[in-house]
Amino acid sequence: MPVIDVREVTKTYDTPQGPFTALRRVSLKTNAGEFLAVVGRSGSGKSTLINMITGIDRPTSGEVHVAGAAVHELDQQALAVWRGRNVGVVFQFFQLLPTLTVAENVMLPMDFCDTYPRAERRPRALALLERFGIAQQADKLPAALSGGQQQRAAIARALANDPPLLVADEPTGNLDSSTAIAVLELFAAIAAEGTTVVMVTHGSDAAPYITSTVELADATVSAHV
Amino acid sequence: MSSPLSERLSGPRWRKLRRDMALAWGRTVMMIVAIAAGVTGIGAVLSANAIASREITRNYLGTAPAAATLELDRADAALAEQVRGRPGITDAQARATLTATMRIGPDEWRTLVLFVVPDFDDMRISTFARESGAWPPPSGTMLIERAARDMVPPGPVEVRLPGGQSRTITVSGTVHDPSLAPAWQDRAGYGYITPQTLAVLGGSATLDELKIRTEATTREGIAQTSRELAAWLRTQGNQVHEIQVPPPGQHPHEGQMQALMLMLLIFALLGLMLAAILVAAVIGGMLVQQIRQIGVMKAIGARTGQIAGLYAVQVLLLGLAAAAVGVPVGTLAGRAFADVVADLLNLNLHSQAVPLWVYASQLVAAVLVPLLVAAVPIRRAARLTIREAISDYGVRQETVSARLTGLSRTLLMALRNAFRRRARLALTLGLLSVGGALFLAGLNVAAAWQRTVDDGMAARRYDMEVRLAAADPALVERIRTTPGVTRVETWGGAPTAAGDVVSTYPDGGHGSFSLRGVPEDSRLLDLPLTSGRWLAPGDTNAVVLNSMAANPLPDAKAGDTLTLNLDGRATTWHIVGTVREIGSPAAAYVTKTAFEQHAGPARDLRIATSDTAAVQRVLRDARVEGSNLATAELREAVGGHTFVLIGALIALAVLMAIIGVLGLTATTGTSMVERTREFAVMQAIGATPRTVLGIVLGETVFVGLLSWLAAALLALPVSWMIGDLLGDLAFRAPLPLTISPLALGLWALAAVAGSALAGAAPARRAARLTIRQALAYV
Ligand SMILES: Nc1ncnc2c1ncn2[C@@H]1O[C@H](COP(=O)(O)OP(=O)(O)OP(=O)(O)O)[C@@H](O)[C@H]1O
Ligand SMILES: [Mg+2]
Repeated sequence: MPVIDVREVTKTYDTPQGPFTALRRVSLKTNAGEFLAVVGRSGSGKSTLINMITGIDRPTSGEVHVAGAAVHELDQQALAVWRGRNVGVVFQFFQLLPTLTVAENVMLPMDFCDTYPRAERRPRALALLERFGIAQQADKLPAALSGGQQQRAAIARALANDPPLLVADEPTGNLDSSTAIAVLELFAAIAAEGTTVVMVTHGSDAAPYITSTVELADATVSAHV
Repeated sequence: MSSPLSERLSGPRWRKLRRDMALAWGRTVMMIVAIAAGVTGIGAVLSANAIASREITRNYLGTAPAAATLELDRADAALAEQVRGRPGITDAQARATLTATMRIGPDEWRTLVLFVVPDFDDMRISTFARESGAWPPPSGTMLIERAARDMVPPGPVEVRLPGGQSRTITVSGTVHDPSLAPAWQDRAGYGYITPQTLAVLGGSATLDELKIRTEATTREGIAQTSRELAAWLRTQGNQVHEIQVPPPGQHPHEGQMQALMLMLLIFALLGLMLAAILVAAVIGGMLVQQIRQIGVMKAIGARTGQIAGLYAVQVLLLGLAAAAVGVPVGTLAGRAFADVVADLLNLNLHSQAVPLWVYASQLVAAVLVPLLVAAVPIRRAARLTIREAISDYGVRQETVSARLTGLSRTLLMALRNAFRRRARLALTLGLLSVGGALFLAGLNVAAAWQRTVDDGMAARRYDMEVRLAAADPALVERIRTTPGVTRVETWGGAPTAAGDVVSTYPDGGHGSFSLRGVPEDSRLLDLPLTSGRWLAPGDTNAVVLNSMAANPLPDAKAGDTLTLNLDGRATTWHIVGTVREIGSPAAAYVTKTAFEQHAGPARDLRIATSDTAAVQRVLRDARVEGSNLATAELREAVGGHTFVLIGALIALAVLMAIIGVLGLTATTGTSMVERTREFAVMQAIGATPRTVLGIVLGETVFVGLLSWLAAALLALPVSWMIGDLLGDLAFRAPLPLTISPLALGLWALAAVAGSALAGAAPARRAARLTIRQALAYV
């Protein structure tokens, strides 16, 4: 069974200038362990597609099945519970909470979703940070970290609940190229362990790491390789 | 070993909560102070009221007050014993009460109510407690009520009975009689003597009052029992002149005290509301800052309820902290206030215990009220979808429209900021204006009260009241020619009742109702009409009621017929108008001619004079029996009744002002934090820190001035409403709408100085931030 199964999804926004269709009958299947890149020009609908997959936004029509759930049918409450355990989200601007230390940021999803026993949360957070090479920074506030370190912390946080799917919207957009490559390597390693990774990207640096690519143009899939 | 709860509360989200609160400590402290102030107000009023209400009843009932007093020709122990056996009567004792005068200065006399008690060791009704001196007081001496201690000169005192000559007796000690309105307030002394001493004073040693206790407890029931008793007494050959049934179980000043407490409570509740709104505003501001963080938390799995819970707990903690401060302070203040009230009402506080429900209400007020009010912004923020919270879609849209319209991006940003801040401006203004309005209203009502009392006194164009034992034209002539006297009028005055039972208290003043005959050409009374017309010459059965009389009579209005009891006879009158009269018990005014037709010759003198002492000398030389009351004394008495109230009003007004200014400080602080980035941008494009400071100060002071205007307008209806309520409770007539210029000036000062201070601190902090720091601000 595919981890992501998007069927005939159309997304139309109401705008002051009238309805605007950002996705038109888009379908997409992705299996466990894939590292999928979503590419396309600015405004082509990449973020919109990602939001359909994470349940952050709803399709106007069509179905979205992710990690065994019919995402388009879940209500806000069920969506929150489902997302917390099944999807890790990584943002372009890292979005670590400024008043929590790096380790606490990583523990936060476990706290909200009550996934791991209390006593195991910090050791688990430290293990994740260790793996991403920032264990030294565990007890610092995010502001004291470099951009690359913050993004690695954000990825650790996204993986805190060991979700089957990791989604990242332009995760390297704010990083220099060598740091960006380190992050891509990390994603590739995560995918290799069986976690599906979906990443929106502009650059072509990702090519060596990804297993497949979806290209969007004018609200439809123009290529899937 | 940590408990599950403390473990739970050590989770990362609670750590975030703690650090966020600590980071915004200024605003956190401000919110705590505001709620604590609100809770203190509520607590002080509720606990003072609980203590005072309980103790006033305990004190009053502790004297075993008579359910009814019957004025007879003569009464004695034997008659009382017989009455005790009558149906519905549980106890009866004979007494006498006389209104005498005592000398308190070379030419200064004051009313002295003398209570004659046959057996000091067997008092069962209308008792009083011994405080000092021999018991019973030896013949030729009197005990005085302790609240009259300062009024009575030490040593021998000259006392004159009505119709008698002055004799000298000594004060041998004091008693405590909490059934009476305190002597110092009513400018009258209360003395307690044996029949032997009464004889020494030249009075007849006969008693003429029967005090009874009844099975009935309602006023109507007591009145009925008393009527039946009076009927029986008449069959036994006794004359019954008057039946007095004061409101059962109620201290003469209980109504006044309740009015005061009610008004204070309303103010305290408004203050709490103000504090709660302040909290909601500040929390709302904090939430706006945290929208992106809320979006992130939801994206990583937080449910709406968890987010709402997080911020609700923050408000809860603020409330608990405020309760920790406010409850003890409120209780202390309430106890102190109860002490003052007890002192004023001459009560002994048997206990300062505050009932549990008062603590509970304070806790609820501290925790629940802010929570309820803050629930609105918390709900709104927690329910934002992730997309709304973290999408940067709006920014893109702006770029597009900027390109389309050719407007500069900075201008658009500025416009959007102005729009965003309009809601906050409204909130800040609202808080400050409401706080200011309550401050102004407090002082306005205080001024209205003072004005009412002043006008009331001014309406009495005479300086002395003298009651003669009989009409005496020769004496009137002598007074008229006394230096300083500008006018003397002879008025009629007689106790009356709208039924056959009066509500008079034992002091003879409180609760009384009298018929007054005013000369047709009187120039000594100018009471403002509240309806209908004043008396006209030739009126034979027209009556004008003062506020105290008009209000309790159901449906009494101009055009109605009124039956008044005059010494046992029913007389019928036509109500032609109502007047406002301050500082007087209930009275019905009729023409002197009509009065003399129904109630006998007029013998009350009203004297306008600049030299009351000279008139006193004439009265003394004429050996005139009769008490007298100078208007100046009445003014002092009325003032004594009211200064507590005014003081309390002013204290509350100041509390409101503090909460209002705190509100301004808090919301200014919030908007400064929100605008840190804007200030940084301004500095990046060349503004100096001084410019930033100037802009901020300009804005806050402008808000302060605007709020002053709004408060001044808002204060009008608020003052009117409070004045209406208070006036009705105190005088049975609304207070006139009065604007206190002093209050307006003070508030202008507080609003401008407060807003300047409120703006200065955050603006200075913002200006000091480096551009890099400010831009990094999340
Ligand atoms: N909430 C919205 N309301 C109206 N239109 C929207 C909304 N969100 C996106 N759009 C429009 O839908 C289209 C697709 O937007 P989307 O954000 O998915 O593009 P994108 O491919 O992620 O672009 P970028 O590379 O710039 O991030 C755009 O034209 C955008 O203007
Ligand atoms: Mg995008």
